[in-house]
Amino acid sequence: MSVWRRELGWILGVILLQWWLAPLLAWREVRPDFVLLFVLYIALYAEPVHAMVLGFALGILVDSLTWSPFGLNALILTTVAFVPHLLRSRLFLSSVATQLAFIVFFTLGGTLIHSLYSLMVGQQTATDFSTRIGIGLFWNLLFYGILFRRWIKWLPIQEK
Amino acid sequence: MGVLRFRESGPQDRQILSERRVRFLCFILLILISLICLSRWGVRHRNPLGEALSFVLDPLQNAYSRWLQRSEARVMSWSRLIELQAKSEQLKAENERLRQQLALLQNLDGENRRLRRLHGLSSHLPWEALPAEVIGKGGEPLQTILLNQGTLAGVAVNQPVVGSRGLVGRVLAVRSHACLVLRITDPNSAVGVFAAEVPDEASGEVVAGIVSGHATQGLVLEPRGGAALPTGYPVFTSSISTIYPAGLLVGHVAENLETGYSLQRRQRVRSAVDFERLREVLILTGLKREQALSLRAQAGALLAEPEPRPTP
Repeated sequence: MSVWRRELGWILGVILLQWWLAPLLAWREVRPDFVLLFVLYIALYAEPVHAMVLGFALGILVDSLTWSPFGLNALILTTVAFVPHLLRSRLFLSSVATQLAFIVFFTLGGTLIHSLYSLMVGQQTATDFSTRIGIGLFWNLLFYGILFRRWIKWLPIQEK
Repeated sequence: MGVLRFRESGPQDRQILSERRVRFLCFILLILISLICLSRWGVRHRNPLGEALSFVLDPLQNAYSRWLQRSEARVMSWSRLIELQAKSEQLKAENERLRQQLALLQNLDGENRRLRRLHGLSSHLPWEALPAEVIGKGGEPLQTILLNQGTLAGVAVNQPVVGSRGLVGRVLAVRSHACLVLRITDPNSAVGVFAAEVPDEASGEVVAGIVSGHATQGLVLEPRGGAALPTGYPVFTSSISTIYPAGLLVGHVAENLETGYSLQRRQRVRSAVDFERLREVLILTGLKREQALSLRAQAGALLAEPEPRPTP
């Protein structure tokens, strides 16, 4: 019960950060993706179905709150929650190197999906692809370090 | 082979396999739902959940933004009280000068109306302006601003948005209590313009062109005929624009841009609006309702009249 409460608290906190803080930190229209980092963390340490449902629900909520195309973040976050499970038997998911590699991979993948979607609907993005990846990586690595490594004992799921 | 191994294995392996299947099915199901959502509501920026949340969260965001502005103003008022007194005197003098100019312009406006009537020209279409406050930014990788007026106030997609200094952009998406505005500096924006010393397209020295947003340069002007405009020259919206009314200040020519291929001259335009300090804007919601109805009635009457027969 306490884990659930803590998880709910984290979900609300992450949504608040994404809705309120992320637009303030936007640098050339690229902002940190707190929800992606949280879903990745849950995917690394929790049951895959739990992580996928959480990723999907958070994605839908973020799409509704932030005016992004409805369903795009849900698609990305569900994938983020599923991929670490595929590699569970081959990689040490709790190692820092693996987690950093996942952040790089998912930041690249997320930006690519957003860019492909923009291309499909005939929309240009405000910043070019390389700048978005560079700034996105900077934000995501920084906040993963701050939020999900340092205060690990306060997170809803304990490291195995 | 995998099936054979499964058949030979025990109940524990069977359970693992069924768990894997459940996970995979769950993944496929969620991805399918996401894709359906994306194809159904993705492009139009409108979805039932977003609409429902808009009713609760947009007024909250509006209230937060107002509180922030008020507290900011309070801090500013303490620190800049003396400076403001001096500025107030300046503004009083400027106000007096502007009043005189306004009286002159009202005189000219009356004359203009009389002359237009004399020549049988229709009067300029009036635009109804809806004041709105900037309460945030959008979530897409686009240059957008969020305003506190939505469908309930009569806002619709593609309505122009202007600031006190010039053109801001157009409405990209609307919800009940808020709307998202695409800035003219976004690469997806483009507007037909003319460059002239006065905002009159019919005056002699006019250079037509297109101003479009650019990812790094802000605004880029492509003048028709490759004409070179001097730095500081004002650029206004043209009457060929289907979205924006003519004569709105877009910005001023800042510098020539070096292009790899010298087929088309390009010049950087400094936007008239400072987007970082933008707080209040006007949404041009269209014709005034009564005037629109009367115009429609006039048009209907004209259509109902029988055409004169050509004389043999």
